[in-house]
Amino acid sequence: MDLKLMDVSKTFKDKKAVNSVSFTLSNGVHGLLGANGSGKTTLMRMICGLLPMDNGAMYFDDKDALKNYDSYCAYLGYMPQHFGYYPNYNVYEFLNYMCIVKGLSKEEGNKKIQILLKTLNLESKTKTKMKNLSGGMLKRVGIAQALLNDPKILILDEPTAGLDPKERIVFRNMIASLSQECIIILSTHIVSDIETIADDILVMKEGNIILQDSCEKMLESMMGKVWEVTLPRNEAKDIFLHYTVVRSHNKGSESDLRIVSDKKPHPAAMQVIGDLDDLYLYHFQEGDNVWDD
Amino acid sequence: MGRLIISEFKKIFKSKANIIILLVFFGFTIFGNFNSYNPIYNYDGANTIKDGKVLSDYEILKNLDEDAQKFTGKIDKDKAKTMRNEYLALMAKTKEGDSIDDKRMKEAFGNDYQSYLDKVANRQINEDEFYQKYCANGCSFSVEQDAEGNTVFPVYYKNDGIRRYYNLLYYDVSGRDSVIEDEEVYESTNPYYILSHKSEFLYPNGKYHENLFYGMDQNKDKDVLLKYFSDKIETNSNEYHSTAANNVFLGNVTGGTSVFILLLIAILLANIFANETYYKTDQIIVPSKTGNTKITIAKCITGALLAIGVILLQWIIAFVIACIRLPLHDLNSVVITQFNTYAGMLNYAFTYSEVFISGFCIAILSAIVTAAITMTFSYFTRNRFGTIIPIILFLLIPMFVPIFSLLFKIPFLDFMFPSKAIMFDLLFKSGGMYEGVACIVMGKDVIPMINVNYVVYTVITIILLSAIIIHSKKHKVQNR
Repeated sequence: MDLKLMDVSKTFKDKKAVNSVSFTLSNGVHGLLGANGSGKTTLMRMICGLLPMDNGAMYFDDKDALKNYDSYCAYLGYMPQHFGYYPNYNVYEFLNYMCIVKGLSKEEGNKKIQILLKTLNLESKTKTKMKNLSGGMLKRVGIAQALLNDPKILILDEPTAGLDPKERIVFRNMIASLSQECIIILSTHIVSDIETIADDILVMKEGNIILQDSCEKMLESMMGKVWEVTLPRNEAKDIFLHYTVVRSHNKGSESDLRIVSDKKPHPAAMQVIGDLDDLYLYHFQEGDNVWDD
Repeated sequence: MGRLIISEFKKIFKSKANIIILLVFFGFTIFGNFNSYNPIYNYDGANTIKDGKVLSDYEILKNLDEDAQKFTGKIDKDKAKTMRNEYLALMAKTKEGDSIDDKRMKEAFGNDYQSYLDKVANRQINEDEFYQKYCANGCSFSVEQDAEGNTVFPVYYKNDGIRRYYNLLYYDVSGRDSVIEDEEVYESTNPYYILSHKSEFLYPNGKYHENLFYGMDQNKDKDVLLKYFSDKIETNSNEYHSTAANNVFLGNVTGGTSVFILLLIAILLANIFANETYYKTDQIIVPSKTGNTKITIAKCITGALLAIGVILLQWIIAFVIACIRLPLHDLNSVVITQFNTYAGMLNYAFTYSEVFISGFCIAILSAIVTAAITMTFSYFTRNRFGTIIPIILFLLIPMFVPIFSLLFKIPFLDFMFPSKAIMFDLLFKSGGMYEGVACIVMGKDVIPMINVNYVVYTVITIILLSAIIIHSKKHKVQNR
């Protein structure tokens, strides 16, 4: 199964939110990274058919997804960044309603709800009203509703925000187990979520996909661009002024620094293997508000 | 689709505010239906004394029902004449030996009311003086004109109550504004007399006036309309049963709460499309197998079913309470009503079953069209208050201002507003507040106004719901 986007564009007033984006995704986890306003959410909404495209086309298994929207939707699971719910419904009622909307029979729905409640550790909250759930719990219900119909295309916008480390691990494992059966598009600010499970990563900047590759190949491109050095604090200040510092850690009168740079930032700097944080900062340097999308 | 519709009902009734509004409304309806009788039973504070006992409002109604049962059956000319004679004899008997009701006169005209009576007897008082002296701060009594055009000033007698009672009994429990004592007036206004004498009494005063057909092409339409009314009178079945319970039932379904029932529907449905936008659930339900269009259709069906359900509940409550209070005898009793105009009156015959069937249909359609309009506002504004405010104005303004009648000078056109149409008894039982007749003429056919309402409401509902459903195919959700 393939999801193919061709020259997809969207403009809001004068701002080009998505600019002629093309890619093909097959089964697996696809991480979507980008700064605030880079067009990730707009792109996800267009994939869901919630926003009409200005230009371009989208094909699912070589069929025009928008022309066959009703059948295309049956394969979709979507968890938006700001997940909406009916506050007076309890968890079971909400998931049951979503089963109806997703066209599941009563029996199928009940069975699926029980499995997901167990997997996401929500069994004790079945009768709790949605308005009384914590942020993390709500995220879990949001993930559960997206998975109710065994989607072939699963779109998750910031799914792990608000989850505790244990929940994130459960979530990651669940996503990993689904990756063989469906196309998962996952946007997150927690790079470690993508790093460990994504088969490839799409980096968006100002409405364009500027990078698309597997995690390993992307990190290969960072060879010779990531450095670490320990310097006295007054010298470290100079580095902050002239280079992009990924991490710094003060130890007494000295500072440990991790820097992304095309050239060696200091004679004492040592070349190290880069990770996704390094890659990210390398592409979204000064002025790009990367982490607080 | 069934499960979707149930889900939409659940969403509406999950709201505590909606439940409270619903309970308050129906609580008020039950209380009102149990306790309110037609205010005609209170006659200027007069006590109704029958067989030496002062009757309460409810007892008056029960007695009327029992006494009216003696007229049950076909009312032919002989029976109508007997009734007339009985009535006039009762009027004469109760007038004979009647005396001034001292208590009520003191309440109305003060302790020295004798000076007022002297002035009335000596014709030393005119209308202006009367109102200036006795009604300067408002009053419940009024000066009337008799058949000869003479001014009649109010004087209260002890037998006013029982005379009123007989008036109600012989006038289909609807009564007249003033107690009839004159034989000629009785014959031209009494429903049973008209019922039996058929088209002899098409025009109560023996002639029609051109203004009767105000707003119509008089030359072309007059004969068609007269034939229609004549046929209605001529073909009536002369059937009579006590209609006391029928009138209570009719009063309950068209009374004060009938407009509020439309408001209730509007309040319950104001959020039907705004809900998803407000809670942002549209983002997850639109891209689903069911899809936006089916969900929209489910919402539209829910709205229509809710409207039907609320009306049905109101009618069941009204019916049950009417039956608890009084036995409902027969709906095939013929009702004679008169379309009053400034220039004359026209008699009209129909049965209670016609009133209730037409009334039920118009109530249901008024509710559905109100639901459709509310849902259209809710769909396009996606805002509860953006929906409620225009709907309240739409429902309440016609109650106070006859907009269409003022604009187009066509009588009964304001009944196109659902809030007016739901008070459908005005189209049948008391056309007196409007000039003209509640019909339109098309070629050789006369179409009752209520049928025009059916068509207009059905067309509006279909157009609005189709617009919503067609628009929903765009399945667009605002970026937010």
